[in-house]
Amino acid sequence: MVYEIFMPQLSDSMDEGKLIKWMVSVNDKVSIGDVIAEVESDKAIMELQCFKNGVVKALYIKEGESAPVGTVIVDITLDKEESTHLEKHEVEEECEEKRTKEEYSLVRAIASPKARLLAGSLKMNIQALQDIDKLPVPSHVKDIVLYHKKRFFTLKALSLIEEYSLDISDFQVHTKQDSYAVLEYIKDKNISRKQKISSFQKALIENLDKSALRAVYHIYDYIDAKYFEKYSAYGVTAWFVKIFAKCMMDFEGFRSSIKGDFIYTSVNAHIAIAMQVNRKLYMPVLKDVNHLSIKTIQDMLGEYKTKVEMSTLNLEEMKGSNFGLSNLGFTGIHRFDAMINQDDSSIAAIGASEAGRISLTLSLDHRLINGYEAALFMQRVKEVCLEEEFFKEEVKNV
Amino acid sequence: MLYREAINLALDETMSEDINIILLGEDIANVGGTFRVTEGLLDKYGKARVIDTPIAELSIVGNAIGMAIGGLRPVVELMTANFSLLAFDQIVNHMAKLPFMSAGKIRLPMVLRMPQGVSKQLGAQHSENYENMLSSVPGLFVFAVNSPNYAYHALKKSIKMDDPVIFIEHELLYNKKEEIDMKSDLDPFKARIIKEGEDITIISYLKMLDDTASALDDIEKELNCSCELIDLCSLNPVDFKTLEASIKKTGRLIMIEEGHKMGSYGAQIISWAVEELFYFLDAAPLRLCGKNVPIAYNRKLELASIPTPKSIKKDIINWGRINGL
Repeated sequence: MVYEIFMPQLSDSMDEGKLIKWMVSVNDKVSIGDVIAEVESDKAIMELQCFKNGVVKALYIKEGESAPVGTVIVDITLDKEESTHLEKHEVEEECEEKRTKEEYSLVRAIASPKARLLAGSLKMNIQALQDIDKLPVPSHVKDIVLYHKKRFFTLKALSLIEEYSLDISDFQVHTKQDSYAVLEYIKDKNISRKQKISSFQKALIENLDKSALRAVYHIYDYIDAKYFEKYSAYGVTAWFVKIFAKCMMDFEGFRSSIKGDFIYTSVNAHIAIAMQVNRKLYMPVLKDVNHLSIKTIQDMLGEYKTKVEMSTLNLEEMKGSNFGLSNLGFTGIHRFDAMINQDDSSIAAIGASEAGRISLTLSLDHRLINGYEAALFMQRVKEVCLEEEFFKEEVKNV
Repeated sequence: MLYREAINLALDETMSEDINIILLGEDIANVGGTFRVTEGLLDKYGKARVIDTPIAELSIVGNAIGMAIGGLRPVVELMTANFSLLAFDQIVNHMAKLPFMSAGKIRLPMVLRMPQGVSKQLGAQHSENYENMLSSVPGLFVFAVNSPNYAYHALKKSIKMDDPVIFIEHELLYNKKEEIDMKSDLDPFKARIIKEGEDITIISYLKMLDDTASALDDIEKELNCSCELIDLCSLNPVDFKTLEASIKKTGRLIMIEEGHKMGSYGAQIISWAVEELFYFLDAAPLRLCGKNVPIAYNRKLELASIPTPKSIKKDIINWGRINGL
């Protein structure tokens, strides 16, 4: 590469310059900052510097001659390193230009810029499609995508694409793609199914995160199951709700919750019941349980179950508890412990009935309930379970 | 903590660290500030560092520039942005230019705090927004403060900066409440994503940001879309990186501001987006601004001349319907 040095304009009024003296001759090596000549302007004699490394190739004027401002007076062959660097730069620039042109293959149409760009990459003629009412005027990205999808994918394939949030541009679409082709692609690329966390699940996760930060401890015991079996017209869960409500009235710590700088203790017992449907956990709340009959409790549990299955439970129905209950006895599990729900004081985990007894685990918030109080509560629950009068009375009241 | 308390705390903390920090403004010492921002600072730091000035904005800013040249770090309160007009010669011709014209030999570590905007029936001459004019002056950093947390961190950093900063507050935000994250290392030049979304990028600042936020649920429900709401925070320079990422994602851009539509600040943002991101746009950008009228004293007319949550909701929904949402 050759670097040309021009006659410089050394003052505002200078039109041409006189070369007083060459400081270099042909084939001399020059480097940045070297003075190569002395030039006289209309006012003074000044030095002419070189700004690159190289070898002098040619001098175009002789000492004593004048040249107009801007004419080439010296050619310098640049060093290899410098010249390859420059050439590479130019080539890169060219590539860049080509690439942008390809990327931005646009189509003419009444459509948003983004839609035109997308249609271009999909080789779709928006205008023609608008003429036959296949696309709206103006078209947006959404319309292009929808048209493209319907044209090249079967409905089943589309639902798979949605489910796995695939990018349709990954498919070579010469013919219509069916679900097998999409499934093949999913298996081939080993793509996991991606599902957005619903706002409901988010709230649940938040609750669980909060619960995990609490100082929780557990106490374990067995309950004699004989009266649960004898009065089995009502379910174990319903009976436990009734029994816990009764005991909660004697232990106010179990009706309390901490919010900010205050401990709130409610007058009545409100119990949240864990119910699961389709991997989602719900905790609907039975309010004022201490005033409810065993039948009402049983009916309400049924009602909530239906609501959970139909996903018609509202947020209000999941608020305001101070105690939780989780019964996994029906699965045959012997014992487990549960996470305390929201701001509750504690939660009871009920296992399967084995050899006439049921395992009961209480998980408690230590900030609200101390071990001693918890032990007394457990004692009281055990006692009530052995009072046949209590069961009889409840059934009779119905 | 309230917005005005956050500013007070930022001033207090920086003043206790650096004896060169001086406050000056009208009624800031004895009265504690028209909006109670400087309450208690006179008692703590004395009248040499908390100075009540005459009602003469040009001289206030001029004096502050002199102080800054002399090595102090003045923090000026102008009672409202409307009165900053009186000081514009000092702001534009001196404060913004001295560091440049001295080739960096003069540094001006100073902050001009001023509230602006439509408050409640303060009349046409006390309801203006001048961020558009101030942001167009090269050499000034301009911050627009929407939240107590940003106010606290950005003001502390502004005071520590060696260049002139315009710190714009809003009259109706002084009682806004928010927890301040003392541990955060907030970058005042970075735009804040208030809420993430997929379909529309909504950019705003100062009070209009809160009005937009309150209309967001209805808009999302009505248009069945999700909006990304961004607090611009730094008006000059602009955090184009954050905006670009958002617009590339959503393809739609809305700018909401309180100032008059003609020559509004947001026009600049829209212009940038159309120039730089044209092929990422899936809809014509929307700019919601105040009307081109002096703000009326009458409350109904006053509200009719600026965007409100109700008008924002209506305008965005109408726009969405004709723009493919």
